[in-house]
Amino acid sequence: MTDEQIVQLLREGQVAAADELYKKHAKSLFVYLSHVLNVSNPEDVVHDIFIRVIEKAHQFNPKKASFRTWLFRIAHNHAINLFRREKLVRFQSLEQNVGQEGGEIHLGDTLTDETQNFDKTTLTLAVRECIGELKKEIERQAIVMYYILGKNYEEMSGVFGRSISAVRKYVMLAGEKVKTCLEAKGIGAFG
Amino acid sequence: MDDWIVHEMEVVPDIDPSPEVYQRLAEKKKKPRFALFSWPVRLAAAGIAAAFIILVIVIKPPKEVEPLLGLKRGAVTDVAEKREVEDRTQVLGEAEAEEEVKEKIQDAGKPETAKLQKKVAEEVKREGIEEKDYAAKKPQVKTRIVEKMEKAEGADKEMFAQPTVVAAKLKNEAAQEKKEVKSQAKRIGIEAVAPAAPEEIVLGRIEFQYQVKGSERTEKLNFDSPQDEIISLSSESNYRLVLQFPLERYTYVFQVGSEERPIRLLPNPEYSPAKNPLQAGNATTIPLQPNWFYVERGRGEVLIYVVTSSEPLYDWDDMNADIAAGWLDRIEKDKGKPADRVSVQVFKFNIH
Repeated sequence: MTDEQIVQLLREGQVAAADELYKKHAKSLFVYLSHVLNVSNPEDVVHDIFIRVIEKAHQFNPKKASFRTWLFRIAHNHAINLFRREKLVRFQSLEQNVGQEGGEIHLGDTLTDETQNFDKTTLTLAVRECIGELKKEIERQAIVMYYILGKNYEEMSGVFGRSISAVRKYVMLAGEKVKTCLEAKGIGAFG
Repeated sequence: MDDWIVHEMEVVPDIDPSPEVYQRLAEKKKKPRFALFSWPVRLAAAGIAAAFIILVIVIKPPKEVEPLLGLKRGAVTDVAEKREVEDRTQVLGEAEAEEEVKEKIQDAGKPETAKLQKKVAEEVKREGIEEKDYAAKKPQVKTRIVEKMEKAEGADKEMFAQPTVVAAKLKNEAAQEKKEVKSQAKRIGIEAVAPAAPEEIVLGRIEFQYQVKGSERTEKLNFDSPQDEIISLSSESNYRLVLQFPLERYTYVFQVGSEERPIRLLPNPEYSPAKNPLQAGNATTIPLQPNWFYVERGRGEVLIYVVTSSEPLYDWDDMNADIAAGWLDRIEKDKGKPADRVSVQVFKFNIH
């Protein structure tokens, strides 16, 4: 089912559209929100964003932007609103949270084989920590979005409402800082 | 880093739609969006509204607010009335005196013909006038009775203060006699022609009374006298009309403000119990004394039309207070008719 079909079903109030929507985009949203917001459960925010998507489905115009751009623009605006309203401070150190009750993301809970996943987990934790150390919010958002959207600057430009060159600049700056951070941690896998 | 994002996605738990999401979808299904809310329709509606506003402004520019017609009720406010109350207070006491004067003022407008007719009938019976002589002698009897009443009824000064009142009574009776003569003539098969009443007598008295704000002095102006200077009333000023005709007249009074929306002042039970035709010699005050119209607010020119006629006009007695468009044109046409048939008097004043 294409995104346009999903939107059409959303407009009609079809329940099947919600299942498809979550299946395709919920995880991306979750990752993005978990990086840019300091909330106990990003899943609640994901639900809030999808409710907004349902409410605004009639406003979506495929000629102006792709559904994914439109979706992440809603998510981005929602995150900014939350941040402004509740002064949510982004991540604390991930090491403090992983594996703890009530922690932000329970990465450890999802690892079935610690040995097989050790390298990936180490990398993931390191990257998250380095992204978390970025001082500028826009750089954090840019670097996460860059990977979630598959390195598509044009789409990012649509999401952030800024020029492609500006978005590229944020990504480059953030990338350099994360790379430096990872190298300091003995991980040189940034690319 | 590419591995990082892949792993990030992998470790995120499966997320299923929340019950609220399903609920919103269900609500959306129940409430289909109407075309009314689509942007083209909204824009079209906004365009129509804007065009309408522009048309209203261009075609009909905003005018000054029409002064509201207020009705002031309550205590006696006329200076002359107050003075009379004071005089009678010395005899009767304050409450009784005021009540007596009010009753007197109201009684001034009541018909006198019934009283006169009764007296004439009694006199005719007493003198034993035969039926065949009745028509010829009746006017003489009536004249005599009226003269007697003038002398005897000193209390009725208000009524007889106007020099035209006696003539009015006579003319009224003459009109009734004319009907009787016509009726009798018709019965016996001859044509009866009665002379028309003189114009100056038919016009009678149409008076505009007003009190300027802050003053209890009542100013009086006659409608038929030329308006050298148009009077100007401020808000909270009072005004009223006094009508008195020597003959029975169908009378219609309208007020037209700056918006040219006429208000019918007579006949209008809201302001006066007087009904058409107004009886000869009776002084009719609009609004009924001791009430006044007062200017609540607004500014601009106000015209008062008094249309009188020997016959009913335009079915206005049955019309609503808001008169249909074109009424003024009809009045203008009637201005050209003989005064004994239709008379149109216009009085103008300003509100500032």
